[in-house]
Amino acid sequence: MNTASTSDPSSTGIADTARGAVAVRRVVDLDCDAADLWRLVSDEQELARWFGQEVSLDPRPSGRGRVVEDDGTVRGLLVREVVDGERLTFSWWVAGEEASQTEVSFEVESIGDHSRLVVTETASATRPAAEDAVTTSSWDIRLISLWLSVCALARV
Amino acid sequence: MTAAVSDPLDVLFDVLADPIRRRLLRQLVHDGPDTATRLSAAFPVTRQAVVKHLQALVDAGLATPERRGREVRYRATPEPLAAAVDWLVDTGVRWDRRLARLEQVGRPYPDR
Repeated sequence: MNTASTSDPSSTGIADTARGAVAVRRVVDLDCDAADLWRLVSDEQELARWFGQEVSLDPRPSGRGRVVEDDGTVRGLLVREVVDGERLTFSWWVAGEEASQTEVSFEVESIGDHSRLVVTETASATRPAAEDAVTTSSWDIRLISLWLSVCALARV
Repeated sequence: MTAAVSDPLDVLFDVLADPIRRRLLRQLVHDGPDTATRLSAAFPVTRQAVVKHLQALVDAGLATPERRGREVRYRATPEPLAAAVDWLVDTGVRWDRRLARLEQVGRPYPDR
Protein backbone atom coordinates (compact mmCIF):
# COMPACT_ATOMS: atom_id res chain seq x y z
CA MET A 1 0.00 0.00 0.00
CA ASN A 2 1.32 3.38 -0.94
CA THR A 3 -0.50 5.24 1.70
CA ALA A 4 0.75 6.63 4.94
CA SER A 5 -1.26 7.30 8.00
CA THR A 6 -0.93 10.68 9.51
CA SER A 7 1.12 11.36 12.58
CA ASP A 8 -1.11 14.27 13.46
CA PRO A 9 -2.40 13.49 16.94
CA SER A 10 -5.75 15.01 16.08
CA SER A 11 -6.39 12.10 13.78
CA THR A 12 -6.95 9.84 16.69
CA GLY A 13 -8.77 12.24 18.93
CA ILE A 14 -12.09 13.88 19.05
CA ALA A 15 -11.97 17.56 18.41
CA ASP A 16 -14.19 20.45 19.20
CA THR A 17 -15.32 23.36 17.10
CA ALA A 18 -15.02 27.03 17.87
CA ARG A 19 -18.78 27.23 17.89
CA GLY A 20 -19.13 25.03 20.91
CA ALA A 21 -20.75 22.28 18.94
CA VAL A 22 -19.55 18.74 19.33
CA ALA A 23 -17.48 17.32 16.52
CA VAL A 24 -15.44 14.34 15.49
CA ARG A 25 -12.35 15.15 13.46
CA ARG A 26 -9.96 12.90 11.62
CA VAL A 27 -6.86 13.68 9.57
CA VAL A 28 -5.42 11.26 7.06
CA ASP A 29 -2.36 11.74 4.86
CA LEU A 30 -2.31 9.83 1.59
CA ASP A 31 0.31 9.21 -1.04
CA CYS A 32 -1.99 10.16 -3.89
CA ASP A 33 -1.98 13.74 -5.10
CA ALA A 34 -4.64 16.25 -4.11
CA ALA A 35 -6.47 15.98 -7.44
CA ASP A 36 -6.90 12.24 -6.98
CA LEU A 37 -7.97 12.69 -3.40
CA TRP A 38 -10.52 15.29 -4.45
CA ARG A 39 -12.02 12.76 -6.84
CA LEU A 40 -12.12 10.19 -4.06
CA VAL A 41 -14.21 12.47 -1.87
CA SER A 42 -16.42 14.14 -4.47
CA ASP A 43 -17.10 11.61 -7.22
CA GLU A 44 -19.84 9.13 -6.40
CA GLN A 45 -18.11 6.25 -8.14
CA GLU A 46 -14.92 6.89 -6.22
CA LEU A 47 -16.85 7.40 -2.99
CA ALA A 48 -18.44 3.99 -3.48
CA ARG A 49 -14.95 2.49 -3.11
CA TRP A 50 -14.67 3.55 0.51
CA PHE A 51 -17.49 5.69 1.82
CA GLY A 52 -20.30 3.17 1.82
CA GLN A 53 -21.78 0.19 0.05
CA GLU A 54 -23.78 2.44 -2.22
CA VAL A 55 -23.22 6.12 -2.82
CA SER A 56 -25.00 8.64 -4.98
CA LEU A 57 -23.98 12.27 -4.90
CA ASP A 58 -24.59 15.39 -6.90
CA PRO A 59 -21.52 17.37 -5.79
CA ARG A 60 -22.98 20.83 -6.29
CA PRO A 61 -24.49 23.21 -3.75
CA SER A 62 -28.02 21.97 -2.95
CA GLY A 63 -27.15 18.70 -4.68
CA ARG A 64 -28.55 15.61 -3.07
CA GLY A 65 -27.23 12.19 -2.39
CA ARG A 66 -27.73 8.92 -0.62
CA VAL A 67 -25.36 6.63 1.21
CA VAL A 68 -25.91 3.05 2.27
CA GLU A 69 -23.42 2.20 4.98
CA ASP A 70 -21.89 -1.19 5.65
CA ASP A 71 -24.35 -1.93 8.41
CA GLY A 72 -27.26 -1.11 6.11
CA THR A 73 -27.88 2.33 7.54
CA VAL A 74 -29.30 4.56 4.81
CA ARG A 75 -28.51 8.27 4.94
CA GLY A 76 -29.88 11.15 2.94
CA LEU A 77 -27.42 13.87 2.04
CA LEU A 78 -27.62 17.52 1.02
CA VAL A 79 -24.56 19.39 -0.29
CA ARG A 80 -24.01 22.70 1.46
CA GLU A 81 -20.80 24.03 -0.04
CA VAL A 82 -18.29 23.08 -2.68
CA VAL A 83 -14.92 24.73 -3.21
CA ASP A 84 -13.66 22.79 -6.17
CA GLY A 85 -10.63 20.73 -5.34
CA GLU A 86 -10.54 21.92 -1.74
CA ARG A 87 -13.66 21.52 0.32
CA LEU A 88 -16.98 19.69 0.21
CA THR A 89 -19.50 20.24 2.97
CA PHE A 90 -22.77 18.41 3.30
CA SER A 91 -25.50 17.67 5.78
CA TRP A 92 -26.66 14.12 6.21
CA TRP A 93 -29.13 12.23 8.29
CA VAL A 94 -30.33 8.72 8.86
CA ALA A 95 -33.33 8.11 6.60
CA GLY A 96 -36.52 8.65 8.55
CA GLU A 97 -34.66 10.27 11.43
CA GLU A 98 -34.27 13.87 10.31
CA ALA A 99 -33.36 14.92 13.84
CA SER A 100 -30.13 12.98 13.40
CA GLN A 101 -28.82 15.58 10.96
CA THR A 102 -25.16 16.44 11.26
CA GLU A 103 -22.73 18.29 9.04
CA VAL A 104 -19.67 16.74 7.41
CA SER A 105 -16.81 18.54 5.72
CA PHE A 106 -14.04 17.06 3.58
CA GLU A 107 -11.06 19.36 3.28
CA VAL A 108 -8.34 18.39 0.83
CA GLU A 109 -4.85 19.79 1.11
CA SER A 110 -1.75 19.28 -0.97
CA ILE A 111 1.26 18.32 1.14
CA GLY A 112 4.24 18.25 -1.20
CA ASP A 113 3.65 15.25 -3.45
CA HIS A 114 1.16 13.87 -0.97
CA SER A 115 -2.28 14.96 0.08
CA ARG A 116 -4.17 15.33 3.30
CA LEU A 117 -7.84 14.83 4.05
CA VAL A 118 -9.40 16.48 7.08
CA VAL A 119 -12.83 15.10 7.91
CA THR A 120 -15.02 16.85 10.43
CA GLU A 121 -18.48 15.73 11.44
CA THR A 122 -20.30 18.24 13.58
CA ALA A 123 -23.47 17.73 15.55
CA SER A 124 -25.86 20.60 16.03
CA ALA A 125 -24.09 22.59 13.33
CA THR A 126 -27.15 24.59 12.50
CA ARG A 127 -27.72 26.06 15.89
CA PRO A 128 -26.32 29.43 16.90
CA ALA A 129 -23.21 29.61 18.99
CA ALA A 130 -23.70 29.14 22.67
CA GLU A 131 -23.24 32.17 24.86
CA ASP A 132 -19.81 31.15 26.02
CA ALA A 133 -18.90 28.92 23.13
CA VAL A 134 -15.57 30.61 22.59
CA THR A 135 -14.51 29.51 26.04
CA THR A 136 -15.45 25.89 25.53
CA SER A 137 -12.27 24.59 23.98
CA SER A 138 -12.03 20.83 23.89
CA TRP A 139 -15.71 20.92 24.62
CA ASP A 140 -16.45 17.36 23.69
CA ILE A 141 -13.55 16.17 25.78
CA ARG A 142 -15.16 18.04 28.65
CA LEU A 143 -18.43 16.35 27.89
CA ILE A 144 -16.82 12.95 28.11
CA SER A 145 -14.96 13.96 31.25
CA LEU A 146 -18.19 15.17 32.78
CA TRP A 147 -19.92 11.95 31.86
CA LEU A 148 -17.13 9.83 33.30
CA SER A 149 -17.12 11.84 36.49
CA VAL A 150 -20.86 11.50 36.74
CA CYS A 151 -20.56 7.75 36.28
CA ALA A 152 -17.83 7.58 38.90
CA LEU A 153 -19.82 9.62 41.38
CA ALA A 154 -22.89 7.54 40.74
CA ARG A 155 -21.01 4.44 41.86
CA VAL A 156 -20.01 5.99 45.18
CA MET B 1 -34.98 17.62 3.76
CA THR B 2 -34.90 21.37 3.77
CA ALA B 3 -35.40 22.55 7.30
CA ALA B 4 -33.19 22.21 10.30
CA VAL B 5 -34.72 19.92 12.87
CA SER B 6 -34.23 20.33 16.56
CA ASP B 7 -32.26 17.42 17.92
CA PRO B 8 -32.38 16.48 21.59
CA LEU B 9 -28.59 16.51 21.46
CA ASP B 10 -28.69 20.16 20.36
CA VAL B 11 -30.53 21.03 23.55
CA LEU B 12 -28.11 18.99 25.61
CA PHE B 13 -25.02 20.60 24.09
CA ASP B 14 -26.46 24.08 24.40
CA VAL B 15 -27.29 23.57 28.04
CA LEU B 16 -23.92 22.12 28.98
CA ALA B 17 -21.99 24.80 27.13
CA ASP B 18 -22.58 26.92 30.21
CA PRO B 19 -19.98 26.33 32.97
CA ILE B 20 -22.41 27.21 35.76
CA ARG B 21 -24.84 24.57 34.55
CA ARG B 22 -22.04 22.02 34.42
CA ARG B 23 -21.08 22.91 38.00
CA LEU B 24 -24.69 22.72 39.11
CA LEU B 25 -25.05 19.28 37.55
CA ARG B 26 -21.84 18.06 39.16
CA GLN B 27 -22.96 19.37 42.54
CA LEU B 28 -26.37 17.73 42.27
CA VAL B 29 -24.73 14.43 41.37
CA HIS B 30 -22.11 14.73 44.10
CA ASP B 31 -24.22 16.07 46.96
CA GLY B 32 -27.64 14.83 45.97
CA PRO B 33 -30.90 16.72 45.54
CA ASP B 34 -30.96 20.30 46.77
CA THR B 35 -32.94 23.52 46.56
CA ALA B 36 -32.14 26.54 44.43
CA THR B 37 -31.70 28.64 47.54
CA ARG B 38 -29.01 26.39 49.05
CA LEU B 39 -27.34 25.84 45.70
CA SER B 40 -27.13 29.56 45.02
CA ALA B 41 -24.93 30.05 48.10
CA ALA B 42 -22.08 28.31 46.27
CA PHE B 43 -22.39 30.26 43.04
CA PRO B 44 -21.46 33.82 42.16
CA VAL B 45 -24.89 34.51 40.73
CA THR B 46 -28.30 35.33 42.16
CA ARG B 47 -30.79 32.73 43.27
CA GLN B 48 -32.97 33.81 40.38
CA ALA B 49 -30.16 33.05 37.97
CA VAL B 50 -29.60 29.65 39.58
CA VAL B 51 -33.29 28.85 39.17
CA LYS B 52 -33.01 29.75 35.50
CA HIS B 53 -29.99 27.49 35.06
CA LEU B 54 -31.69 24.66 36.92
CA GLN B 55 -34.74 25.00 34.68
CA ALA B 56 -32.44 24.71 31.65
CA LEU B 57 -31.07 21.46 33.10
CA VAL B 58 -34.64 20.27 33.68
CA ASP B 59 -35.63 21.14 30.10
CA ALA B 60 -32.65 19.12 28.81
CA GLY B 61 -33.64 16.15 30.93
CA LEU B 62 -30.57 16.46 33.13
CA ALA B 63 -32.40 17.32 36.34
CA THR B 64 -35.88 16.94 37.73
CA PRO B 65 -37.68 19.05 40.34
CA GLU B 66 -39.17 17.28 43.33
CA ARG B 67 -41.55 19.07 45.69
CA ARG B 68 -41.15 18.30 49.37
CA GLY B 69 -43.56 20.36 51.43
CA ARG B 70 -42.82 23.96 50.59
CA GLU B 71 -39.45 23.16 49.09
CA VAL B 72 -38.58 22.28 45.52
CA ARG B 73 -35.47 20.16 45.36
CA TYR B 74 -33.65 19.40 42.16
CA ARG B 75 -32.30 15.93 41.51
CA ALA B 76 -29.70 15.12 38.85
CA THR B 77 -30.79 12.80 36.04
CA PRO B 78 -27.63 12.66 33.94
CA GLU B 79 -28.63 9.72 31.75
CA PRO B 80 -29.05 11.87 28.60
CA LEU B 81 -25.30 12.52 28.69
CA ALA B 82 -24.81 8.94 27.66
CA ALA B 83 -26.53 9.66 24.35
CA ALA B 84 -24.05 12.42 23.57
CA VAL B 85 -21.07 10.29 24.43
CA ASP B 86 -22.56 7.45 22.40
CA TRP B 87 -22.75 9.78 19.41
CA LEU B 88 -19.11 10.77 19.75
CA VAL B 89 -17.92 7.21 20.07
CA ASP B 90 -20.13 5.78 17.33
CA THR B 91 -19.33 8.58 14.88
CA GLY B 92 -15.62 8.26 15.55
CA VAL B 93 -15.66 4.53 14.99
CA ARG B 94 -17.57 4.90 11.73
CA TRP B 95 -15.06 7.44 10.39
CA ASP B 96 -12.14 5.25 11.42
CA ARG B 97 -13.60 2.41 9.38
CA ARG B 98 -14.32 4.57 6.36
CA LEU B 99 -10.90 6.17 6.41
CA ALA B 100 -9.19 2.81 6.76
CA ARG B 101 -10.84 1.87 3.47
CA LEU B 102 -9.86 5.21 1.96
CA GLU B 103 -6.26 4.50 2.86
CA GLN B 104 -6.55 1.27 0.89
CA VAL B 105 -7.83 3.01 -2.23
CA GLY B 106 -6.09 6.36 -1.89
CA ARG B 107 -3.01 5.48 -3.85
CA PRO B 108 -1.71 6.92 -7.14
CA TYR B 109 -3.75 5.68 -10.05
CA PRO B 110 -1.70 3.37 -12.27
CA ASP B 111 -3.03 4.93 -15.46
CA ARG B 112 -2.02 8.47 -14.55
